[in-house]
Amino acid sequence: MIQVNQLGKKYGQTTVLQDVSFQLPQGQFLGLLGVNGAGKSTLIKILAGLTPPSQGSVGWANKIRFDKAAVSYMPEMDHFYTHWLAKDAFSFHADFFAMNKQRFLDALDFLNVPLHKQFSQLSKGNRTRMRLAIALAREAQLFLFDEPLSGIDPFARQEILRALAVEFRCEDASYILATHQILEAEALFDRVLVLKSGKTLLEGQAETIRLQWGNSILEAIRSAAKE
Amino acid sequence: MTDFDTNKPIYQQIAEDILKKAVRGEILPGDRIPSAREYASQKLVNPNTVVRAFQDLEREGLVVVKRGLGNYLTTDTTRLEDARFQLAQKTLIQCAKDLRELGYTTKQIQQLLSQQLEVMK
Amino acid sequence: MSYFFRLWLHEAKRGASSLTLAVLGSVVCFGLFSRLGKTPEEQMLVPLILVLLLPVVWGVVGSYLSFSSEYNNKRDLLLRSLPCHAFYLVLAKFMWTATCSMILLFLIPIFAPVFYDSKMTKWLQLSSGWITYGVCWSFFSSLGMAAAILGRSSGKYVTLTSGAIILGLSVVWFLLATPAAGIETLGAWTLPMPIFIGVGVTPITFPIFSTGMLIGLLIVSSLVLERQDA
Repeated sequence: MIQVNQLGKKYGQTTVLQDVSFQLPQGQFLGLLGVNGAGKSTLIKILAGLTPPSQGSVGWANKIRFDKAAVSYMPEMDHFYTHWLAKDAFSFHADFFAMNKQRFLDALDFLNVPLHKQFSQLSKGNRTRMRLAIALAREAQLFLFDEPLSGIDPFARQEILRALAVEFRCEDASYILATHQILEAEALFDRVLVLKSGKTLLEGQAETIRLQWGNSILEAIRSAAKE
Repeated sequence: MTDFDTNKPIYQQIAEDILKKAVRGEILPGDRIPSAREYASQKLVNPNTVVRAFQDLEREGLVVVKRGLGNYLTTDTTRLEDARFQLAQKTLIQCAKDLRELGYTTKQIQQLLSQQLEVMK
Repeated sequence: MSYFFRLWLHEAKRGASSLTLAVLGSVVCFGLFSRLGKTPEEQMLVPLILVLLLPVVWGVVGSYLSFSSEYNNKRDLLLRSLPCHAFYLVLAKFMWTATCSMILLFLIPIFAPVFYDSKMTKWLQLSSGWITYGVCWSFFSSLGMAAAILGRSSGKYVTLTSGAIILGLSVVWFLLATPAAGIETLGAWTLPMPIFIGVGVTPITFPIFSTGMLIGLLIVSSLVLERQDA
């Protein structure tokens, strides 16, 4: 169980996150939703241990120390070295993290990533796929995906969602997917957290929110934003 | 997931989907049904939601979970028949409700239904 | 500690080719340019002035890269997501640049007699200057990296503050250390400078460093020249 309490983040005078709290039980999938600039990336970076929060706390309820080794983080940017082949990316990460080689190879195969092309020579979609395969191959307790669907064509989006939410899902790990492709992904969430200008707009069980607002998550967000 | 109804809980829709397949004979009594993961991958839904739907089906005695082997449709045909009847009832209730909302009387509804059945013959 | 060695190895693998190029380039450039001078002082000063221009050029290129391509930002993301404290990154970077200075220490004297009629002893004397230089420069460039990494984690004010501290420290270092060493050592110390800038500093701190180096060197060379005139 991941427990986030009253998290806040300020850069100078600008407030990016304010009073964000949520829980994510083990094995569940959280959809982190909101428009660009809502604070999704900042929240993910705090959870990944890249940025310290200005307020509040992040912790595991089952007392496993919250450190970077337990978190697999896939940033929005193509953050790999441009000369890397898939195997280079793997060996680099294997130097620092516990990795599952079989899962990596299966993910590359499932996602059809070319093995003998350098990272810079891959298409945008394949660069995302290679980074995803690395992120999924980590033996982690928490998986964080920051906008893995942005700039990807609809068919490939489904494939990426299928890989991260079903095919290579570890049952005892928790998952957070930040996206603004809500309609495509909403059936995958156990819980959702919707941010608007750094504040919580909606938070809770996905099914409860759908029923409460009598519609899809997307419609629920629209209705909640109007209120 | 685009072929799901946004007004109903997803787990309920999954259970109904399996049931309809059984009623239509796409899955035969005693047949193996997909695992939660296979089903989730196929429909791009949360595996946890599928597990919940399968648990509901198991509780109703429509699916038998054999640990380590997979999920199987029950061989108990009376249960399947019951489930089929329940589905039919649900559909009829919804249909009748909708027609009432349009202002039709019971007699008119009966007429409309038999006329439609004639057309569809 | 094992993370530290892995990082060091990673830095070494990544930097090996650029280091080789930089070493060869600097040796050749220094040798060629030094032929332009007639007296020993001129032989040292001409390359000194040319080498002075390099950091400025690299400063411009580096800042262009860091702001136009996002490359630096991406690389930081990769390194910062590693399960070790920024301190280890800095330390690994420091050790790597220190290693480079050791390599130079052994390489340059081998090439030197090709360009100079000087005796080996003089070059060994200069080499002791390099090792000081290398380690000090490693220290400053590591600070530069620390500023970049910690700055990204904590905001632009930290980056600016640590940048300013580094700038101050490097100026102070030049003011204190170089005049004591004399003109020959100054020339020798300046030689590997572009190499260290190349391997040691992230693009975001390029402009800060280059400016610091330029100001420091200008002050120092004027001091040294003044002393020589007197």
